[in-house]
Amino acid sequence: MNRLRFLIVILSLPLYSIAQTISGNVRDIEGTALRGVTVGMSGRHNETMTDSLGYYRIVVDDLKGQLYFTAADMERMVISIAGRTQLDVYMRAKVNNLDEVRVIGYGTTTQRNSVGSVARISAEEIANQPVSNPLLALQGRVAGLSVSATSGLPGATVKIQLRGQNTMNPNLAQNDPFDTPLFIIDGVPFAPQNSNINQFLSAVSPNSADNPYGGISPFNNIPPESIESIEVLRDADATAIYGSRGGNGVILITTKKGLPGKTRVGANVRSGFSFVGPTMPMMNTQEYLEMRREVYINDGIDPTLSPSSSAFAADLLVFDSAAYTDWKRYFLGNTANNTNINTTISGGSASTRFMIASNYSNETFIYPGNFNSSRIGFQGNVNHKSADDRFSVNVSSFFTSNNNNVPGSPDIIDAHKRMPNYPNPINQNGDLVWEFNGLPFNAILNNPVAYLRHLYQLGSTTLNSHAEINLRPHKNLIFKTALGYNLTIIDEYKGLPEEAQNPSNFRRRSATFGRGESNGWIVEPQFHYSSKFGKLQLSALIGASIQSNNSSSIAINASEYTSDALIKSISAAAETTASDNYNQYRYSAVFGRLNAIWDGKYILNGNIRRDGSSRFGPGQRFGNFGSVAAGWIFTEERWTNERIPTLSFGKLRASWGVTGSDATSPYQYISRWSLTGFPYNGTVGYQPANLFNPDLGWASTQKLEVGLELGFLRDRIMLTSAWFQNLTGNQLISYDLPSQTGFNNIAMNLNAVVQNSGWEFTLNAGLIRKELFSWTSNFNLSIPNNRLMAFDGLESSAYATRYVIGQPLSIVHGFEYEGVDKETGFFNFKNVNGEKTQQPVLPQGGIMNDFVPISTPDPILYGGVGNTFSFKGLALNVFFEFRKQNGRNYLAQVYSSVVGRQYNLPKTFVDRWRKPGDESNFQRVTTQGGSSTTASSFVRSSGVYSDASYIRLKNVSLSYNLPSHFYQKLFMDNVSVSCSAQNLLTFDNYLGNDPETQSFYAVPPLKTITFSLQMSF
Amino acid sequence: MNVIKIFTIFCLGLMFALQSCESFIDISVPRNEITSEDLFSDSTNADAALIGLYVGLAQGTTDVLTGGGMTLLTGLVSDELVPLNTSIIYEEFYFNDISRDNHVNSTSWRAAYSLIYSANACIEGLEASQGISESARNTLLAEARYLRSFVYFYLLQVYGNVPLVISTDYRLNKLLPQTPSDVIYEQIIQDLEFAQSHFPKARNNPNRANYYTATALLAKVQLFVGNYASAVEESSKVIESDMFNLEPHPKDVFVANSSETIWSILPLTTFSQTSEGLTFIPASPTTLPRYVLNEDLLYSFEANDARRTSWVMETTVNGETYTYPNKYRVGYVTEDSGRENYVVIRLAELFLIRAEAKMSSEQMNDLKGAIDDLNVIRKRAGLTELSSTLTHNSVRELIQKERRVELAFEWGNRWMDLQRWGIISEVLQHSKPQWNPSRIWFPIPQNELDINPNLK
Repeated sequence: MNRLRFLIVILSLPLYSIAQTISGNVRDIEGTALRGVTVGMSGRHNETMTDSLGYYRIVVDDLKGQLYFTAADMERMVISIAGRTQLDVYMRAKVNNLDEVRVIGYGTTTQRNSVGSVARISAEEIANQPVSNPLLALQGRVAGLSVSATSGLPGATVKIQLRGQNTMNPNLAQNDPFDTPLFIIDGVPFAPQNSNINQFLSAVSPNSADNPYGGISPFNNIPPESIESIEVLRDADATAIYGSRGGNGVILITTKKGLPGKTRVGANVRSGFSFVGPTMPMMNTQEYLEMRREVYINDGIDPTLSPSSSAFAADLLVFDSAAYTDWKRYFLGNTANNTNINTTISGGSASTRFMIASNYSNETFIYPGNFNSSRIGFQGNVNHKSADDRFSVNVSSFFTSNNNNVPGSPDIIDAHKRMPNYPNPINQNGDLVWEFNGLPFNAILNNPVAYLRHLYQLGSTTLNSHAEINLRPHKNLIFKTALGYNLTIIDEYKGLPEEAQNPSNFRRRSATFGRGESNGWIVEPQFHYSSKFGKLQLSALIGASIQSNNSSSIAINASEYTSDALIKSISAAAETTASDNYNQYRYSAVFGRLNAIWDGKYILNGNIRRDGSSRFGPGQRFGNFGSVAAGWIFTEERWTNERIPTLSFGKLRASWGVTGSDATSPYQYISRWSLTGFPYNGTVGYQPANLFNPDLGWASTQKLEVGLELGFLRDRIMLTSAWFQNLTGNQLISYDLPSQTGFNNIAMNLNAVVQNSGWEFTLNAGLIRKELFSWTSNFNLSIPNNRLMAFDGLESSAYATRYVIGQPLSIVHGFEYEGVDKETGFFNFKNVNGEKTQQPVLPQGGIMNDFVPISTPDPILYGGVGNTFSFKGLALNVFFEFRKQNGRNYLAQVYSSVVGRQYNLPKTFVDRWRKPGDESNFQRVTTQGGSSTTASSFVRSSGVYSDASYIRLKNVSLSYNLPSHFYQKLFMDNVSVSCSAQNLLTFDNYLGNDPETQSFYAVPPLKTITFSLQMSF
Repeated sequence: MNVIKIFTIFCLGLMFALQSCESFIDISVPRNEITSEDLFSDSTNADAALIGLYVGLAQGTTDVLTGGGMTLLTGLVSDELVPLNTSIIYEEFYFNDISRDNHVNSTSWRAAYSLIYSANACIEGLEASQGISESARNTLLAEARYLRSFVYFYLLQVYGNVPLVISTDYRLNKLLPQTPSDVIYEQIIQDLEFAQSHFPKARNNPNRANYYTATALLAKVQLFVGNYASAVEESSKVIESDMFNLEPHPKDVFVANSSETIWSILPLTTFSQTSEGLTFIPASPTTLPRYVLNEDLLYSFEANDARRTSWVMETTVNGETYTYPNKYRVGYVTEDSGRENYVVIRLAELFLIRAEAKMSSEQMNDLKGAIDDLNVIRKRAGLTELSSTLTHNSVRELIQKERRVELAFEWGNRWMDLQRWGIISEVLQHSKPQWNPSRIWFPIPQNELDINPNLK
């Protein structure tokens, strides 16, 4: 040991004793030389400054230390010398929020000069959050953007909607309306309608009443760590340049790019765990069996062992009345692990920059067994600029491969409603048990562990490439061509081994193999012109876009396997049948923009776009869209500075425009027949594929917005308030039809207008900015309002008992709940005459009967509050998300099964009605089911809607930048450690497990705690 | 100047791009699809549209009327089947308390109209087609109209009266109210008569509709609407055609290619069984049957009736004996299980139709003819022949009994018979304590009522 230390001293002696000179050039990232930058050595007192060419020379006594570079308008940089004597440095301009670059459609702007409504989420805000889906990182962060998880399971889809529901529900079932924002990643449209990428069902995509929206998200292939910024474009000014597809807003995702300068290597390792946390407990065996015995007394019947009878009672007659398993704990009580590693190498010179990055992540499931969702990705980009600045090119690309290994049966979701005295589902050999004391299990007694043995795998691979070639024939002109290509391949497998099947059915081993491919390209030539004429700053854009997307999917059903071990292979199946699906989408547009700024005070912006879409028939394909917007920076007027000196920035802006939507399935304008998957008598046939509508055309949204942006105390406090109104007409929907027409719906335009209006407020404040301590705070609040303004022929339409003019689209009609009758013990409702009844009448023939409006589950207000405190190297980030809303409570799902049959109930049901005179919220337990029961009226009543507001501690993260002396000798630039927690606490009055997913059985958003280590060299 | 030049070139380029836009976004239909226009442009393609209808029929499960639902669902609501080991949703059928949101009921409604749409689309496509020869077109039209009437006939039997949809125009069809059943019967008879007169008499393919299937169904419909003379005439056309023979023993009636079969639907794949076989046959000797026979039905079989042993199977589970329908023997197709087709109509039923029509027709009052036809069926079942001197009433009772046994759990004949004989309440309140005479039809599903305000 001593000898080693001696050796180090000897080796480092010359460095300590001999003075060394380091020199180099300091430039900004665009390559412009920076003059007057202070250069110094950390921990020493020698400093110098760059000259007019950005050149510096500094004498140091140690080539192992660090150099710092500071300048008034640049961000401070610290670089390890690492033995070098030549150090060129590229510094980033220090910007306040006002002048930070914001990406907009076909260009960039700043908040100062923007007359549109654009919000930006930076890489730092995303990095704090240990989430694997980038959409989840937006929760509560952007005014006007509503983001909700469909399930806490890894890979699950995230619902997203900007500024309310623009489109009526495509049908009366609970399907999502087609009004998801347009996603563009590095200029390439991605994941239209945020549609699920899976073809088959699994625990993540149950497609059941317990979780109707679930699915596997296309965004699993976008690692959050690869994102530099996410811009959310909201109003007409920002979205009209996307014409027909901007109607529902636009979300631009920009991936990280290389920075010039020293080659930097960064690594981030994160690891942690997730759990469900406390949810509503279920009854134990004693409480459950007491309830079950009461059922038979209530109904005056005897328990039987006839499995088809509603009086079937295996739990009372056969199962051990002393056995107890907490199935919720069994299935959901585990801890899931996650690991995330990513590395980056970036660097380059003023003319050429590059970055390459890789990422890996793995998350396990809370279900018992080996389930996981993992991702591996690579990302790279190169920018090159010619010396004379007349030519530049930048190319970026990422490749991600994602693999999900999920429990295959959706039924796993409500497995924990098994009776608490259900016998051990697994025997000593690990095999599933299908009978107990001679009683074979039927569907009601199905072994819940079998659901975990249904196999499901989904692998998806995404390649997204983008290139931009810029030619500058004249100093004011840029001819730019943007090219993009996107390829997504999905491989899916679902297997049903014999061991997972009940032997009292015919057990048929089967498997389904699915493959989906979607590839698209986009070419967008553009002409940018900008010039200054005196006080007038003028810029113009004219361009065109052509785009093509082909997608296809294949599903192969394979069966007649001879063993469970073979069911992952197609060739081992004695029988296979296949089906396929193809669709093509083509799109073309020409667009233009004119922007004029007079004297830095008055801003005028206009957009125009003409679009053609292959989704519509001849004659309906083209549509014109556009916007005008104006802004006035009144703090540039002399009088404001004099009268309101605390006001450092003030802008009034307004925009109006028309955007549209072509969000409908392809080929709906033509009558098609598709091949039958099977031959009959040796011949393959055709079956009608659709009802067609040759008049199908664009939906259009008129958007109006007025905004006021204020900066106080030299822009330390920035407040943005906006009022908007969107009117979506010519509703493009899938209209519900009675089955007698042969189909359940038809794509059509409906002469109805939906209005979304509201207020949005965003506040960013640097409350304390001291050398050692700082406190910044941000806040956003949205107050939305949704209304159906007009609907021609509503009374005679399929929506007659669904929508009301003047009311939100989310309005729910149902019976008015009047509590449990003390004498009979059944639910009471109020009928149309105001009398109590247990037999309320459903709507029929367009007449509401006893139905009244009972809820509007849209949020009343929502937003987020974040605070960041930093002290020396320590930073604490606390972010709350909040939402005030009404929603469906747990009773809706509990009463969808017959409360009293062989299902366990939440422990709250201990307080049910038991005898005349009892006051309770839960009616008498019974085996009686069907549509004429009070329970079936109850699930359509105000009793299943209640407050679902919440405040959630979405994220808290604590990070610590280690002092440089800890790692200097390892030639590192920066080392930090951090700990983050997601969804740690929720404050709510919600009746049920989770007010966000509002499902009693679906897995709620998990609580995740992670620890991470970041290093850069 | 340079700027203007570049700008002009770019704008010209854009103009050119705009011109080519129109054709750029003109896409063709996916490669596994075809437009209506192309489909009916020649007879091979048009034939594929008809094939699609058969695939639709063959895809039906026991939740679909024409896929086994007539047997299962009406077997439960009438006095044939009792649920034992199945989902509780079928209990609603057994208790004659089918709720409007019973999803089995809504599936059966939806599936029927989906088939009707396909038939209507074929009929419209064929009628508008230019590229098919007159005779080929008429044969295909006959087939489509036959299939349409076939679906309507069964739809009518469970819902009482239904909207009569005979076009593909959704704007018109979406608001159609129910049509009185006699109007629908008129349409059915028109379709069948058209089919009968345009099908060639040669029977090329026993698994597709042909002259004999149309004639057999016409005989059945005529019996149901009370045109007994026509029923006798039509059933004789089939019986006397010498195309079909009764199998000597009941056990061979439902095997593939039985000589008794007038029309059967083929399974879709080599490993598919009939939906009835899959539903009724227990998976293993220790599995309870899903449905067992109603005791009344069991007692209807006379002693020594060969049909009792051929078509009803017994199984003993945990010491208890259960009986279940076993006209189809294959519950699960394996390499060596053999194959079965789903028999829609067979010769024996035509004898029973003719017997009943002969007995019921006041003009004919051909009791002897009726007894002869009945004896053909009884003889095959190994029963004694009836004497030719029976009274009108006892012949009627014997026909009722014979129909009950010969056509037991087969295409809902029992349910339809109880309805048309007007004895449904009388019989069912006797055998089913929970029978409610106000519920003699399946309810129209709630989601249909929600969307079409003209339905009741």
